[in-house]
Order: sequence, then C-alpha cells, then structure tokens
Amino acid sequence: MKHIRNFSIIAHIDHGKTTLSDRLLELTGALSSREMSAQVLDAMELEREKGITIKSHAVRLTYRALDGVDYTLNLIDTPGHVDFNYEVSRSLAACEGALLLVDATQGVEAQTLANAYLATDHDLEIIPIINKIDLPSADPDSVAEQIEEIIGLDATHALPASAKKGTGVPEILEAIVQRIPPPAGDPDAPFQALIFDSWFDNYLGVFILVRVFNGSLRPGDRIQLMATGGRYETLEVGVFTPKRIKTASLSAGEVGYIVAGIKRIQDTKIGDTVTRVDRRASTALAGYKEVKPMVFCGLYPTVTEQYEDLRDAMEKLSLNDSSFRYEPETSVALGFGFRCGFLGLLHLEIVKERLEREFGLSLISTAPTVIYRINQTDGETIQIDSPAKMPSPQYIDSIEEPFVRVTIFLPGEFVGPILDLCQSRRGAQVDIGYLGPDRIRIIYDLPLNEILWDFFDRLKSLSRGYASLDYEPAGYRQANLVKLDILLNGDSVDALSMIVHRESAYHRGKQVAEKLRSVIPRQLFEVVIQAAIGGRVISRESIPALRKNVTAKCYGGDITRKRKLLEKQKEGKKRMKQVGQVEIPQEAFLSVLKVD
Amino acid sequence: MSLGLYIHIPFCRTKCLYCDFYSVRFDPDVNRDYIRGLGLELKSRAVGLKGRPVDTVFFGGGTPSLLSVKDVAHILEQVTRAFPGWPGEITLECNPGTLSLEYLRDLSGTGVNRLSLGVQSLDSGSLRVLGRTHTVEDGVQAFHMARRAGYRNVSVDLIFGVPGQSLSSWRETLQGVVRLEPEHVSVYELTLDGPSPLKAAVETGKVRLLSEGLLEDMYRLTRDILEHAGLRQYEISNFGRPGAECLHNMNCWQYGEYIGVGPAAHSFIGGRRSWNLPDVTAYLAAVIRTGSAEAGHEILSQRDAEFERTMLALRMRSGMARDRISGNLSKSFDELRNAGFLEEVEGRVRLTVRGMLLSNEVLLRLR
Repeated sequence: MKHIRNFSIIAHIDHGKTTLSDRLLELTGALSSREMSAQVLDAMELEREKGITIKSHAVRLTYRALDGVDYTLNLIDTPGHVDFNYEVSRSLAACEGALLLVDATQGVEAQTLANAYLATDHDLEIIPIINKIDLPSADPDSVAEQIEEIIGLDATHALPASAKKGTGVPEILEAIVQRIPPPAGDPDAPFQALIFDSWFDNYLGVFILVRVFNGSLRPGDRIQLMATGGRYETLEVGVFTPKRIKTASLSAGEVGYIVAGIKRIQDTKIGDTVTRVDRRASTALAGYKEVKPMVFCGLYPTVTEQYEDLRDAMEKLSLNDSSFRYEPETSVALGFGFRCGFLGLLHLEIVKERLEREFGLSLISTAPTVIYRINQTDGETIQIDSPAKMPSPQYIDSIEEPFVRVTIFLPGEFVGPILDLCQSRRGAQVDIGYLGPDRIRIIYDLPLNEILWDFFDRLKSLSRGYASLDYEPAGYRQANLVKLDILLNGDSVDALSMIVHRESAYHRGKQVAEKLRSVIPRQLFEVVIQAAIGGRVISRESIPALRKNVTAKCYGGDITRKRKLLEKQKEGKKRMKQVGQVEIPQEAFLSVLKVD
Repeated sequence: MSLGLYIHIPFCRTKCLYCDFYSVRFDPDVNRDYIRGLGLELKSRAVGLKGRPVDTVFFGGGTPSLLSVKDVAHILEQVTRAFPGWPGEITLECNPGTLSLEYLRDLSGTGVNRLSLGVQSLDSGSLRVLGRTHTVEDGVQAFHMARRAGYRNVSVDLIFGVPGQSLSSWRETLQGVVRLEPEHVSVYELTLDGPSPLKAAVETGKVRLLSEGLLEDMYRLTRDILEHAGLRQYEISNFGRPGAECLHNMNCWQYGEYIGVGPAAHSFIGGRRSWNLPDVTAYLAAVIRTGSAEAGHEILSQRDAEFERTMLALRMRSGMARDRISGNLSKSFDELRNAGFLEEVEGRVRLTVRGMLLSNEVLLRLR
C-alpha cells in the first residue's frame, strides 16, 4: 500500500488537464505515443468536441521512481464543469492528492479556486503546477503569486511545465511519489469502497469504479450497496491501464472496477459505499448524497412518429447517465414528449445533442426551467418543474424560487458591465473585492432561473472571454413571479409559456412577441401573437397572411426543377411544428429565451 | 396520347436584362451548323419512337424569329422526314423587333400557323427596364402584320411586375392588347431567379421590386380584363378564346409526352425525363458524334410522377379528377377547400383565384 498514490488533476476548463493526463500515460508507458490518439481519456466524441471531460475515468500507471522503486499511480480523472460538481467531489474523495493545474497565461480562474477548495475540504495534498510556460504570454511569477494570494497555497514548490511539449512532466511524476501520501486503510477490516463513477456495458452490465478504503474483494464475494441496499455477486474485479485488466482482488488503497451483474445504472449511486455481505462495514463512507436534477425542460419529437424512437433513445442514454431523468409529458401544443431533468444547462445541452446526433432525432426543447415551490392558499406547498403545472393565481399564496451563489473572477476593467448584468438578473451582491493587482472577485446571489439561458454567453462576451464563473446552490427565496402565456391566434401555446418576475413581465412579453413575429414565417392566414399575464393581454403582434406565392411559368424544362424546389420546401416544412393551424419552426421555442 | 416537339433556338441579338436563360449571340455560321445539328438529333430521336406522329411543334428561344424562312422550312422538312404526318399546330415565338410583313407571309408558307409575339408591354418605360430592344409601336405593328400575313392564331406575351410599373399602366397595356383582339395572351409575372443584370440591380438596391400587394392586384386585374374580353383563363398564366388554347403546352400540363431538341431542351417519354447539354458548342459536338446530346435523365418514381401530374393539372382551369385525391391527401384537400384555395366543380378539383396566387403553398400541402 505504501507504493500506491491516488491523485486527480484539477483545473479550470482549458487549462490543459487532458493534455497532461496524456503525457503521464505516455511517460509511464501505459500507452505508446503511437497508440495515443490524442486525448485518450476523453473517449466520447462529444467530449472531444466540447473540449471537456464529462465522464470520469481511473487509470492505473506504473512508474519507476528515481529511488528505483515501482509505484502504482492511480490517476482519477474528474469532470471539468460546474454542472458536475458533486461528481468532482466524489472523485476527489477517492484521492490523497491532487495536481492543481493553472494556465500560465490565464492565471487562477473561478473553477481553479472552486476545485482547489474542494480538494482542501478533502484534506488532499495539493501540488500546484503552472502549465503552458512555453507560450510567449506566459507569466509564471504572477501566476505563482495568484496561487498564494487567491487560493492561499504555498507556491514555493509550484512546478513549471508545458504538458504540450512534455517539459516538466518527469518532475511532476517524482512530485506525485514524493509529496502525495500513500493511502491509509486496513486490508483486513470489513470491506468499504467508494463508488465514484459507473457506466453501462452491453455485455457485462454496470461497471462501477471504486476506491477501496478498507478490506478486500474477490470475484465470488457478495456485495451490498449501502445506500440503495442492492445485493449482487461479484463477477469480476480489475483495473484500467487504460486497457481493462482483470485482477484477483481489489484491496485497501486500490482503485479499480467491479462487475457484479448490475442491470441498471440507476441502482448504483455515485458516492455510495460498497461493502461485503459476509462482513458488512458498520458505517458507510461519509459524503454521499442523492443527486437531484436542477434544470428541467420538455423534449418533444418534431414529428409525432418519432415519439417511440425518442423514448427508446432516452432509455438507452440513461443507461449511461444516472443523473438524467425523464418522464412522459403531454403538451397541448407539442403532443407527446418528455419532461427531462438535468444537473445543469451544459448537461441539458449535451443530452439533447446526443439524442439528436447519436439517435438521429429531431427535437424541440421548451424553455429550461427550475423547480419552483408554490405555497398554495390551502396551506399546501407544491413543487413544479414546468410552467404548465403552475396553479391559477387565485390559488397561489406565494412562490419561492431556487437561488445560486455565483462567484465570478475577472480583470478590473470589466467590472462595470458584469455588475450591470448581475443586477439586471435580479442579483443581490454578496461580496466584491480585489484578489490581486488586476483581479476581482464578485460574489452574487442570483435566481437560478436567471442564469439558465444566456447568462454564461453574456458574461463571456461582456468580459471578452476573461471572466470565469462557478456556482453553488443557495437555497430558496420568495419572489414575485408570474406565468407569462403566449397565445397564437387566440390559443395559449403551453410550450411557449414561461415563469418570469412580475417587474420584467411586461418588457419580456413584448420582446417575446416581437421575437416570435420575426421567427414564425408568414402563413396562409394572419397570425396574431399575444403575450398575456393571467388572461390580460400585455402585448400583441401580427404576421400578415401570405398573399402570393405562385410560379408564373411551368413548361417542359421547368418541371423537374419546380418539383425539386417544392420538395426542398416540403423538407423545410417538416422541421416545423404545427400548433393548431400555425406552423412554428423548431428554433422558435428556444428563441423566446434569447431576448435581452 | 399526343406527342409534342419543342425546338430550341438559343440565339438572340441582345440579351434582355431580366433573362437568365442560356442564349448566344446570333452568328450566321453557327446558325448554319446548328440547323444541321438539329436535323441529326431529330433523326436519332425518331428512331426510338417507331413511327409515332408529332402533333404539335413549338419553336421557342432565344429568338426563333431570327431564323430565316428557309431555315424554318428546312427544319420542318427534317421533322416530317423523321416523323410521319403533319403537325396540327406549329408555333413560332417572335421578337417584334425582328419582323417584317414579307417574312411573316413567307413563314406562313412553311406551315407555321401560330405566332407567339413577345410584346411584353405597351409601356415604353417597362420595355426599357426589361431591356427589350423593340418599341411599343413595334409590338403593335407586329400584331397587325401577323394579321395581314393571314395568321388566325396569334398569341401576345406580356410581363407584369416590372419595377416602376403602376397598376394603371398595366391596365393600359391590358386594354391595349384586348383592343388588338388576339386569340391568346400569356401573362407572366417577372421572376428573377438566376443571375441577370436586373436581378443584380435589385440586389444592390438600385431598382425596387413591386410590393406583394400590388402584384396581387395586377394579377387579379389581368384576369378580370382578359376574361371580360372573352379570353378565358385556362392556365395560371395563359388566356385564350375557347378553342385557341395552346395545344402544345396543354399537352405538357396534361402530362403528355414531348421531345425537346436543341441545347438544354427537356424531353419526357415513357416516364423518363431527360435534358440536353446546355451549351451550343458542346451540343453540336455531341449530336455530330452520337446523334444525341443528352446530359442527364431521371426516371420518375410513381410518387414523384403522381405529384408532377397534380402539380401540372392544378395549373389548369380543367383541374384534376376529384377521385384522384385519396388517402392522406383527402384531409389536406378538405382543409384547402374549406380555406378557399381549392374548389370542386362537377367531380373535378381546381384552384380558386386565391389558390392560384398561392399555388406553391397549395402544392406543398398536396405532396
């Protein structure tokens, strides 16, 4: 056990985590550089495209240190986005140390700090690494200063590196061995292992990735998952190097996988403790919590024929994504679909994209929403995840909405516009202050609903990409909210309704009506768009009827061309959703959010 | 079933400003070779049709009236050599600026019995915008000459929707044409699809297109005036005295078969549509080598053929049989009828005026 080192790499997005992982794999001979399609650990196509790591992985590396001894290094990869904060914390709980990677040209960012705090919370040994020192704009000295001032870590022994060029990587490997403590734990105690990742395999069922804290496990042993209570027989244990290698056992201090004939990923909860049925641990490992979706939206097939396909696709997708929730929902406007729950917006986007790309579906998503608490006049409190479920105003006593505490890092010159942005989103300032000569931290409490759609984009564009952000839930607060209904030719379109703050409702209704006028094409009849609150129309727009669309000439040579032109237009029409008599393009359902 | 023959004459003296068709400058030498090439293509076409007679011939362009009477006679001789019998309707498109009484008289002797005169407008401003090289007077004179030369089946082509055109000037054109008492009038809205100088002028904002509302008014006015004068609208853009409808084009809209010779011409025989190389030089090289200048073809699926049949039938006042609409389309049909786009008359379905104005939208719903 004293030759094992368990560690993670933590970093802000794009600070070079994946590249460093690849270098470590290459240098320890886990994979030859030829075998490495760049960025081995980001398996999924989508991860590669978005440049972020969604699923965590654990790789066992064997490293002969300068002292001549072979060490087992378990590199535990962590998801790199705020939506997956809980997963990150569970991965860190499996480690004794962490490499804190900071871009020498960018400095400390919001997620650097958030992740560093998480690591400190878990008492990890943190090794600061200043990456990308080969770039001309690198400023390692001031970055080291930031690490000391902002994070409060001693940066004297921060390691300079260029993961891309391989510079400094051997020193990093030595530091892992020298500075990160070996795992503690008792191989003879009752078995306790922490689940920090799981996925579904078509042949073997669910793979769970664990860090063993005490005891040991062999194939044939019966296990129990302590939070869910499920019992299974261990079929196989092993490690990834990154290739899958079966081992005879997994014991205290080790990181590896368990296959136990588990059929559904929903039966394995990240953060749960695995124990053995024959020698049960008396307590579960600390830190487990049920992950609950925070963001919801309706997903509907553009054509009703795809409903079954969508259901199958969601079922398949949820095999590998335990935090994605879905349940059937019916919309008057959109027909049969699903109300889906996600950890955050990025998670929503990823799931929607995968459904469309991997399963060839054409989807309409309704405005993302959060869970509101409605205190009814009859004393009952209900939770709603869709504007359609909002009771009539006379039954509502008060409404509470979820808040988040948002931490933003940015250079001083952008403070004005960012404060305006937060203010305009109903934010309450918690703190603002200098962290360095030109580095400011702003902390705001904001309604989650207000940062759902374009907050990140606005933040990035207002700060020319320099601002970084992190957020954490900050409880529920009462707010003066109303449901904004959108009517097309007099009929309320449930899929376009939204919950908004009363003060901004008028402005918002006007903007949405204008926006819809610009995205809905002209039809054979006039289309009247109205925005209404509680039956009172606050805005009206109209799209005049199409008066003329005729082909003047159609002789022998024109027929093929004409037919093909109509076919193309027909294809375009197929991508529209017919709501009542009105044909609405897919993008209209989301465009209503992109108003400002 | 009728068989139509379209003969393309791709030559023009100058190109009109709105035209995106393929045409080349008239050149007597090229013209001589071209007539020979047409003969070769006609001959090889006839082989595949095993002695079927041609019912109608249509000389279209370009500017067919640039052909000498001798050329026309020669082409028609080739036609009769290749196909048995004598076509009942032989139309030749004329640019009013190219005509003389003598030419028209002699032309009549070749068998051409229908003229389609490209008058386009009786407003000199519109003719200028369109880049037509003839005058309003040329147009009127052409018609009178045609009559004097003995033609009893004369069509006048008109264009509306010309930038700068007003509803009253369009009314004057229509009334002027009605006074000439032609047997047939074709009225096209100006369309700018492919690249042309006029299109470029619109895109750069130098010229403004007419509003949709004005175009609709012009279309309705056209129908009112021509119908009132006894020129019945028998197709979206065509009007004729009963019995003077263009048989050649009727055949095409009734999904009959046709052969097209010359560059870019289309043919439709036995459910197979084909088209020729668009370029005169390439066309000539190909027909000299193989007798054919086919550049591509498509064999229509039953579904596509059905749709085309509907698309074309609904252009005409005669419409289509109600019982051809079945299955899924019945629902769309009912909706379109209830909304006033289609009407049913004696077991046949046709577009209403509103339906004609929005015929593309109607067709999209019947696909």
